[in-house]
Amino acid sequence: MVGIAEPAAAAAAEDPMLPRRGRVRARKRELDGVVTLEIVPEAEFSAASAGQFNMLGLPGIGEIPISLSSDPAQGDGLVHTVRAVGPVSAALSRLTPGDTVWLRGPFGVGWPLAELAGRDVVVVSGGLGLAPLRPVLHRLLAERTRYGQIVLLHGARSPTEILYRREIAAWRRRLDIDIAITLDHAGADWRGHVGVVTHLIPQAAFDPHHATALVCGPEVMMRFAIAALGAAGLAASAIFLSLERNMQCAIGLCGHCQFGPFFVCRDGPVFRYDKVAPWLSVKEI
Amino acid sequence: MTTREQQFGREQQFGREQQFGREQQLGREQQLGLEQRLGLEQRLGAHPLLAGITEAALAEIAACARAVEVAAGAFLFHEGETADRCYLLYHGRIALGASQPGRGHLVLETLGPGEIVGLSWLIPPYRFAYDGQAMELMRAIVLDAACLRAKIAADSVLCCALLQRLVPVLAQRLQGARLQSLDVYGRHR
Repeated sequence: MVGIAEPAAAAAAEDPMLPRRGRVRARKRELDGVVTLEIVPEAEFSAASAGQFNMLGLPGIGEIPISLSSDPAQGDGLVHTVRAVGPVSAALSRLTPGDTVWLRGPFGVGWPLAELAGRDVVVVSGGLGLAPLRPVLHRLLAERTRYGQIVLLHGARSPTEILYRREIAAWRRRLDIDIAITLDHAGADWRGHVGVVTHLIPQAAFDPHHATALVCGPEVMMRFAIAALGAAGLAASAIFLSLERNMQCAIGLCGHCQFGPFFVCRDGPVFRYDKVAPWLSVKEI
Repeated sequence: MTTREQQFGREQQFGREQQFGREQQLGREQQLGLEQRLGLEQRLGAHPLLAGITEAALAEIAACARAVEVAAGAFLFHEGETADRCYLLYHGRIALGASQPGRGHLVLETLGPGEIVGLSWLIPPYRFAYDGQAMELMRAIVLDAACLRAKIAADSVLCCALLQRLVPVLAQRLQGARLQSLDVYGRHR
């Protein structure tokens, strides 16, 4: 990862490689090592759609792709949930209100919101995979009557590692979305499900012939979830997933995120499953 | 703070009184009349595990079956006990768990309606591998393991029909356990 030079802000709007300055307006600690940053760009920033990502950078440290994690239609800030796993994400997660962060984006192809109208929507997420799906859930719930059943199936590691816990509780109170959470590990005081998220799929209430599934999480989890969705009757063309690869340029030039005939940064990160199925089992890519 | 002995003693007491007493009571009730027997067969036939099984096979299995209702919090079985039964759940959920000194009771998996609990009946030495506790009021059909083992030993068609249904369950649980052991939601680079 190459550090970012001080950008020429005036030219940024025309050049997707030039970062633009933003300020952290709010920081919320979500979990141990996970924060959500609300960032306000100093200049006009293109509107993003749910599932797209921005490159967030810090001079001298580096730049990483982070998905949008709030409804782009709400508010003027860009909301990103970051887990500290490497030097850049760790530095980003230490930012506090008023700090500067450099932005490029939005990039990539998002979730197929227009195609969901009139259909049941099954959202399957694991761990931090809920973050890129959160904007979709906001959209679906904001226009609830446009969709059939809405189901959220989420897998987490333990009770203390459930992302957006308060928000999930608020969604549950609406009574117009079915939510099931399952954990990998739990003590006797946990009253919910324990086991893999794929086990929730056969129990979920949706019509497989009129449903679209949106899947995001660790890739191995997604492969199992896709198999379970297929077993439940969903066609491969009705399953969308968000892939994660080493994205550097974010515009399909550098080739770091090549995935078969695709560049994840440009043609994804959201793909229809039947389009990428042949390459999901190829270990080398 | 309760000691492990106190806790275990209470669990055992609660389990035996609340669970087996109720089970036995319902078991007797279910064995009373033909009408109830037919109802049991109907419920067995409606269980996803036995979907598509022949009527003859269903009647054989029903001869080993009785209905039970287990109160929330009661233990169905404890790790190490003789696996002399299994449960076909149709209401409520149970937690499979194990106790670890210093960490208390850990839940490994939860199972709900449409699932089978207590697969240890199938595999020698026929001992429950985990504790099974009702998380809420649970209703199930209990299959007597000795009865079922005798029937499948004598009837290869029934044996095949049951194994065709149980092996995928075992495979699914193995896959699930492997996926859980990968700790995919952990903090990895």
